[in-house]
Amino acid sequence: MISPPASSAARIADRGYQHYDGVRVGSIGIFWAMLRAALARGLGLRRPHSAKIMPMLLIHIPNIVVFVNVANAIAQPNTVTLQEFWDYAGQPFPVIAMLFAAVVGPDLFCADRREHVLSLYFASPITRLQYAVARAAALAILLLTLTLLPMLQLFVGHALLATSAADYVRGNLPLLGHAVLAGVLEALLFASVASAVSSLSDRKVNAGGTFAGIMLVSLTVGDLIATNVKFTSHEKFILVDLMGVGMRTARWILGTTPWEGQSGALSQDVFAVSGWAYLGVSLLVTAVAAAILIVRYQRMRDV
Amino acid sequence: MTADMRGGDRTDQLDRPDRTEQTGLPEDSPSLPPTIEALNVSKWYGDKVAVSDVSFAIRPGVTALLGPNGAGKSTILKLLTGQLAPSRGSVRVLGQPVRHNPALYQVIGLVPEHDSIYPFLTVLEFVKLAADLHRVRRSREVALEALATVDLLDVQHRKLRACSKGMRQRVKVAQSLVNDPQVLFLDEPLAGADPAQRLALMDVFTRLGETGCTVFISSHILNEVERIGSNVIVIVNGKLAAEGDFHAIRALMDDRPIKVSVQCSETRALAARLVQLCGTSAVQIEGDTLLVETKSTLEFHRALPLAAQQAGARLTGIEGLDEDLESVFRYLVE
Amino acid sequence: MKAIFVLSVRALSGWKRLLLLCLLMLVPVGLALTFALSETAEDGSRFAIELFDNFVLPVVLPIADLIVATSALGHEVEDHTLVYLTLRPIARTAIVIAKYVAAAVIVIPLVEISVVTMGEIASRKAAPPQDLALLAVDTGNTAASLLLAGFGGAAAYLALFLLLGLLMPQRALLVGFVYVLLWEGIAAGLSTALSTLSVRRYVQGVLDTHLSNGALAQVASSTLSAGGSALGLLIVVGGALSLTTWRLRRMQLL
Repeated sequence: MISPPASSAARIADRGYQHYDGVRVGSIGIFWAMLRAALARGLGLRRPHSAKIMPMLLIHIPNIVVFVNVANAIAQPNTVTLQEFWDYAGQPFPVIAMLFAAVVGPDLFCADRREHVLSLYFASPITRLQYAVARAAALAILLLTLTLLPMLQLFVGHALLATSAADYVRGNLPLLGHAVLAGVLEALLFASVASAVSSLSDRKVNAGGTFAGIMLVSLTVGDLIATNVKFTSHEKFILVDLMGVGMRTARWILGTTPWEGQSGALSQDVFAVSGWAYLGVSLLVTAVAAAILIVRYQRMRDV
Repeated sequence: MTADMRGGDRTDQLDRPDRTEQTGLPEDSPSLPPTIEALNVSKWYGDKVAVSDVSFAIRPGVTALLGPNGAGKSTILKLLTGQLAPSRGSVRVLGQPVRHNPALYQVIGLVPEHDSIYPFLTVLEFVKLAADLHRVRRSREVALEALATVDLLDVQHRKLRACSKGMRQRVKVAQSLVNDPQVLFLDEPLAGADPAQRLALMDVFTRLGETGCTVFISSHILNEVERIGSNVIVIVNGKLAAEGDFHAIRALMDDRPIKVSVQCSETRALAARLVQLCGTSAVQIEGDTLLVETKSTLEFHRALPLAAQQAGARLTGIEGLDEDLESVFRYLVE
Repeated sequence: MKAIFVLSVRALSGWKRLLLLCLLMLVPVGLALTFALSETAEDGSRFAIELFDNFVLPVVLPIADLIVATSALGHEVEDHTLVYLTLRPIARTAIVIAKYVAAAVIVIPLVEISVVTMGEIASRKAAPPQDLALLAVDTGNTAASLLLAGFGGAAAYLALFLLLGLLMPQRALLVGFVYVLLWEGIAAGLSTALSTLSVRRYVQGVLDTHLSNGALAQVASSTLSAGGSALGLLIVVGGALSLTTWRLRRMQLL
């Protein structure tokens, strides 16, 4: 039997490997990809369940507490008083934020160094600065769920409890802005210090322990000297308390007793320390920690 | 290594045959009791079955554990060394259960798959540590001897963190030899070694096997494993696919005709003769080479000279194409 | 066992870890020095005791012990080097004890030097006039109390965190902090029954051992007897080490 001739309409569409000539996203796209990957890692997504438990638990504790308060206040407005913003900023939730940063920060930075995969990252068009900033930014964003999200819930709660929600929102937009600023500053402080410490060790236990140690020791030392050890200007030592600095900065920004006046006005707290001093220390520590992180990764050789 | 360098206290508890008196390859003596026995061994992690109902017996000599990635080779090695407990079945080494039996480790050596070793120790310190933990007398001399075996004497004072992957691999081999083991488990021992180092290591393993040690190697480098010995255990998807001499395994593969390459003149005439043989299932002509597939190697090799003579063909080369270990392995895992 | 001990001491005494520990141990000394130079009108021995109770015990000891003890076995598990110790003809008990003693040899001397120096510096500050007669006695009481309490606390936390490092090397830090901050800091204070599961309570009992007869009696916060506290700490150490041995014996090395 003779085969019929090949049809002239046939064609071969693929002949093996071809170069990619589609759109390339550029450095911003790379940064967003790194950020998304870091956020997923921080939350334990696409990893075993055990990797999700602690981050999710730590995020949910303060948020659920605030949510319950808001729900109760809305359900029983005459009986239950809704927290004020500065009440939240003064809660012991900075300890939870510190624990979160101590757990997630080393996980974001130490694991890649431990597994020697940084060379894979840096063999692609991603700079060391982009890598470090993306990871630190992811940690800061996750910390916002602890330092800012509960305050946003409180804002919504207060708006719902007000006579007119729209009027409340319009009249308290500056307060909302202050809450956002306070939450962001506190998140940046914890994120930058945790990231800097994590850049100094490739063992998660060592990095996390060191970060938690710095926070707890500074808290105790600052508080001890400011309250119990009396000498000239001993109250200023409260600025050594890195855990409290973020909280006190937030309270000053939000404007609260015993501070008098709103944010921007010079006022003093029980330690006779200016709110600007808290803000200054907060920004200084954040900047120094960020500098340590960046310099460390720029100079890192054993990747 | 001299006997007086070994701590004799614990080895007396175990029945150690005098290995210097044995002659010939251990596989020539099937009456030797098995050194390693796995009986209906299974291992699963939740829903994932890593090893499924595997049974085999290994005698002194060199035996290779082969299998594709993820087949369960490392799991089996860890089961045999007591690092993992079988979910079902039993494992015995030298007639004893291997798990929860520290005394048995006196005569076992292991080269684990993981690359990590103590980076702050020097090469000599790490091997001496192994000797000390085995309570070997004159541990430093024994360690030096082990390092000489793997050709690392000149870097004995180098920190392990400064050693290359191949050097660290040889250090791991050295530490497994300090107690003069009766059973030696090696998980990818040739990984990271350069060709010269691989040849040297294979020579070490071959000599150990010839002196009566049971050497059990898991490796991917088939052409080199083939040089050490012909006993294999092949694992595919956690199940035992084949065990024994791989030549015998090949001969058992009735569904896979043997492929032979015959270089000759008068290819067409010879091809016409070979096609007439009962065992021949295919003949392919490629230039001056015939590729013959036959189900009977014996018949083919007997008939080939006569067929060549009848065809007036001059034979210049005959080569089996799929009787090597790599081909056997490929057929088993396909 | 000696080989494992030496190996562990070398593994745990890297310069970064030692530097961190030394800095941590200097903090109570610095605080004591600050107090001694300050205008605070408080008895030095009292300050030293309270500093130990409120800072060294809840913060310094747990952090130091977490960093060292969780690494002793935890790093071996993470790095897959534990097989080089377990596939030897050595009893698991010997491995655990060697690791524990190695961690103790590193941490406890630093702790003792720190708390004794802290107590000595703080106690030099002149006591209020009415307590002068008791100053010598109290200084001796203080030093003995701090020495024993520091030893007991470090030893107990080391054993606990050694177990923790083996059980969950990746999460040892978090669980350790949750135990120290949340359990011992809050939950154990809620009832006497719960406090029996708190190392801090037993250490406080040891701390108060020498205080009950002196001017610092009112500083003593624990209601446990000296014997009861010491027994409690021994049970914690023995129990934790036994559990560690049991776990190591049954462990599967993936």
